[in-house]
Amino acid sequence: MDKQEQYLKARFGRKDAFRVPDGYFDSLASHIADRLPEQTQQMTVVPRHNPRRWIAAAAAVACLIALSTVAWLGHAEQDSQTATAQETSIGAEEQLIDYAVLDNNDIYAYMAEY
Amino acid sequence: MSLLSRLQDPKTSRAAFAEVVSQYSEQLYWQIRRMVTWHDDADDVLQNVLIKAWTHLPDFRGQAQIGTWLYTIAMRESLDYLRSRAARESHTGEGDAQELASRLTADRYFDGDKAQILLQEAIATLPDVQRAVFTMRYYDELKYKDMSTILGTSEGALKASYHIAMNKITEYVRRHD
Repeated sequence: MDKQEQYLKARFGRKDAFRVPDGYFDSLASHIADRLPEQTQQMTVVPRHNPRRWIAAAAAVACLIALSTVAWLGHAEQDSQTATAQETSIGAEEQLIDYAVLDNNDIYAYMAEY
Repeated sequence: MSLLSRLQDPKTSRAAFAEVVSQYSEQLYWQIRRMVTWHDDADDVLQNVLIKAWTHLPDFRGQAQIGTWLYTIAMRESLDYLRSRAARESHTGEGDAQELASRLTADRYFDGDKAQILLQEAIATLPDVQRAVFTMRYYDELKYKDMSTILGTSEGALKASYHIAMNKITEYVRRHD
């Protein structure tokens, strides 16, 4: 744990101050059960070799390589890299992963399969 | 008969899923709530998460732990929700923090003091994915390895992201304390 984390935990603790309506969790299960569709109608068939996944994954890898190259070249040109630039690079990587690789339904199906 | 077997059997899947909901919904709710802040939003996202899990249940093979699978759905649906909410609302920087503070003060499902409001303001300044990283690590104390599975990002990127989030929050708190 670094100093900043120690400072925040000493200052604020780890518990948040959010609350829920009385009985919310007691009624949640039955509320959800009422909303679940018939599963036989909702069965999703996920092809094991989905070409879209491979294309998306290849595109993402290409983008990451390009991004890394640009970042490396930038680093070579500048002796010091500012925290802001580093953050931008990380943010860009996160966005690429978020948007370019797979959509959410693909990820849920993928994680369910393997 | 194991929970997984019952989830996969159409005759028992609904009852087995009710067990899953009972076991995981509270934990999922708090994870979502820390991301989206407001109870009504968290309730909407949680219901969406559980319905999506149910929809994808026929594909579930049990190799991943069901808790990790649900957590992944919850975090990604929360991120999607934050993005759609940001697209609907205009942002004005410091004005957002003041508005958040006013809303939290008036919110009957928030009973924090000034310090807790300040922390929520600071968290709200983070980009969405950083907020996810921060809440998973700070509140839930998840391992980077598990976070990597959930967010599909390298452990190195997550460590850097958490460090940056810490810097931003600490700086915001010290500036407004």
